[in-house]
Amino acid sequence: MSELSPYLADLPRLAPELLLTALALIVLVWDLVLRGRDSRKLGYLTLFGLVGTGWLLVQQWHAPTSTAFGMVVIDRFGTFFKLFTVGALAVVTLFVLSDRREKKHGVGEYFFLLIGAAIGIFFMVSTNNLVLLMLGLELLSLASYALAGFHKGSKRSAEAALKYIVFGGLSAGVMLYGISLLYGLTGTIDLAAMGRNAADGSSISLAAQFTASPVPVAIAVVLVLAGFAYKISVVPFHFWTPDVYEGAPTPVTTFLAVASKAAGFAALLRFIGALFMAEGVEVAVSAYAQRIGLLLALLAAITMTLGNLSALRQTNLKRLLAYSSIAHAGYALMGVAVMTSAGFSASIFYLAAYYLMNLGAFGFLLFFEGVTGSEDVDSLKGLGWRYPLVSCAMVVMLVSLTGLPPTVGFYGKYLLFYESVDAGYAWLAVVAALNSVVSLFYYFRVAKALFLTTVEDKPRVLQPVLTGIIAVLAVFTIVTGLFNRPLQEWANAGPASLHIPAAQK
Amino acid sequence: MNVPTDHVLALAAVLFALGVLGFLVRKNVIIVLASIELMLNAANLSFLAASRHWSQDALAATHQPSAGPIFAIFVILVAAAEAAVGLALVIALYRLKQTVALDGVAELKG
Amino acid sequence: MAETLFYLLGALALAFAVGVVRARMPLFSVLSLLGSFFCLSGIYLLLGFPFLAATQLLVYAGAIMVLFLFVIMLLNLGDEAQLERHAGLSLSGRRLFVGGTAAALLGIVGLAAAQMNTTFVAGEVPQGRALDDLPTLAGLLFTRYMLPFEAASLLLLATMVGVIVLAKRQRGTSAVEAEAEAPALPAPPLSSGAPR
Repeated sequence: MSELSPYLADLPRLAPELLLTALALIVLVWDLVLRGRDSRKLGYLTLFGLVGTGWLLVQQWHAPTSTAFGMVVIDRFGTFFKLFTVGALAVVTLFVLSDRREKKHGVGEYFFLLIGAAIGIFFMVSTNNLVLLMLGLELLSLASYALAGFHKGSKRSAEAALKYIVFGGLSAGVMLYGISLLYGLTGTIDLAAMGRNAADGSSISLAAQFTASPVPVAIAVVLVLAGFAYKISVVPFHFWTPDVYEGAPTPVTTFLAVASKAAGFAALLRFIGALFMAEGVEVAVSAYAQRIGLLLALLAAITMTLGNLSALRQTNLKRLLAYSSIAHAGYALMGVAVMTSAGFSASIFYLAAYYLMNLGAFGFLLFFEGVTGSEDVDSLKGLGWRYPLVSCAMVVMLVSLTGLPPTVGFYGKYLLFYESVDAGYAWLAVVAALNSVVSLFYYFRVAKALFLTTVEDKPRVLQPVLTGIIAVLAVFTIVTGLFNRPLQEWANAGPASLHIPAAQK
Repeated sequence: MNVPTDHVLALAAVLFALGVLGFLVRKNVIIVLASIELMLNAANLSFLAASRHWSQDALAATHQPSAGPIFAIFVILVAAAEAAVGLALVIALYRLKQTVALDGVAELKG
Repeated sequence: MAETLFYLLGALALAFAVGVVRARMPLFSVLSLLGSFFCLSGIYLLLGFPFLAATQLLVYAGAIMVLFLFVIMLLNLGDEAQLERHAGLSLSGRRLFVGGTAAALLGIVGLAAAQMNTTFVAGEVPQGRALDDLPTLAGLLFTRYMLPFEAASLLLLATMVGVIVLAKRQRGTSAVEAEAEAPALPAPPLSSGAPR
């Protein structure tokens, strides 16, 4: 007991995680008690629990950085992403509840799996320990596989899930092998310990290995990065994305595209930050980081170009948004590639923008699936005049996704461009700018279908909850675009809490 | 046993390469899942080899030799979970399509 | 003696792994995998990890393999050679692709192994004692690694629910909205089918 007590004393600091776990279990048991009837009640309970978790997280935002169990770092970086995850999950829960094509009964597991995935995200965004990182990632993945195949009666859903798990298994295998090499090279599974040199000069750090054996280090790091690349769907690990996003139920797609992808980014930022950029890493490591940065910059350029060019010829809105999300992964990766604390802030800011605008865009998709039962861009024709509020909100999202003022997407992109040029990646900024122009074409096509065609008269389908969410998100998109100061400060807190020193200029 | 650590690691590396190869060339989902298991086992072998290396008396104090077997246990757990979900999906899909070929799974095209 | 055994088991494990990749029928592939696992378990034992060797046998051979075999038998997957027709690529193109991938992989692996030599300077690797003795391992699992341990239990729960969701037979392919489905977990007889 005495050995346990220091660990038990850390429990209160894991309050948000514990609350979510309790919520998941209550949902599961209540579903059993209800015998699958009236699953909507579970949805409301989930929302209630998420609000509580959010409140706990806000408390943690103001608490000083601390470590629980020696492996969960409670800092502003993690809390930032946890808060956005909770927000995104709440929106996704509302999506599930207002999905007209979803059953009202027997879908209690939906909520359990969503909460389970969120717990996985919580662990993976806040740990320096590779065991916990791996388990968090896998918890997220395994819950996502089941969610993607939730409509198993539909071939598309089942196939999407199968594709997801097969490629997910590959990436897990590759990543774990990379981690095993990292462990072999350094003798530790703690990222912070890997990054810095031990005081007594023992060769625990990766830095010592860079000079001794650069090739295995490179292979190990690239293999681990490949695992992250899968989660954030960066080329060449993107090809599952369109199929899975299209085949999965739309609320699940939203979760995968927004929460899961941003969580992958958060874990990637923490990984790179701890290994290459934290205070106290050696000069050899920083030099190495530049090379990794170049690799990431190349991947970012390829990813955004491929995503945008493929999106151009899509007629299915869901698939279009899937390719667009690949392109946005490319943009967000720009900030990682520059390998500076300012670049990281820009990336974090862009991810926050990404949450807002993609939640809105997928909400719109769900809305119109409810109206037309179709995902084709063509079927949107003229709907803009019949559903003006939602459609205007969608136009705001599209403007933001393209990266035009006055939206948050514009400011996020501006930061990314500025930081890339500043770090000497001017070519990357040019590629990204060209890409934004390309993306204008397909985003505009959606707006055109909505508004620039004639009206047919059909009875209106009212979906007040969805309309409300989309409108609120649109307002947020504009407001945070105009008054971006607070959001930027929150984003800046991230690299600071990762102990990444600001660049000297 | 006095086999040098890098021989064990080389064995793990070749096993991993075979797993990736199997993943890339086979179309049968069951064989693809088996290849993934092979990759995870390669990771385990290299964890244990590394753990043995860091258990040397001179190194054990400054490093974490015990992290290797612990990681390996969790990898086995994850492997079991992945196999279970993967095979459940194979069953679900087989009911719909009567095939376990990844190519036949082409309702969604590129 | 132990060294010879290691190389023998290693060679066998590799041979079985080739069998996994090359087998025409899934059944043989999975059986090869089983053989590979047995050899690896022996290697774990030689390396000084008896507990891991036992776990490997119990979990892989005992549980995962049975799962694989069960699915193969359940779905009655016999000779599925026709599956291997590749859609896009011609046969020679495919051979080129496979050969290229194999060469690239082996190149990377060889490079890594060659360089590892310099990293792992020959030291006195511990011999003749278990490196994963249970009291230490258990102590760590319930103190320092308590959180991953609990996370793992959650992961298993999520997997269990996920598997049940995925593999449960759906009653009626396109479920009517008002029809109540059976609950997630094994529940009392299907008296819950009553509409709201």
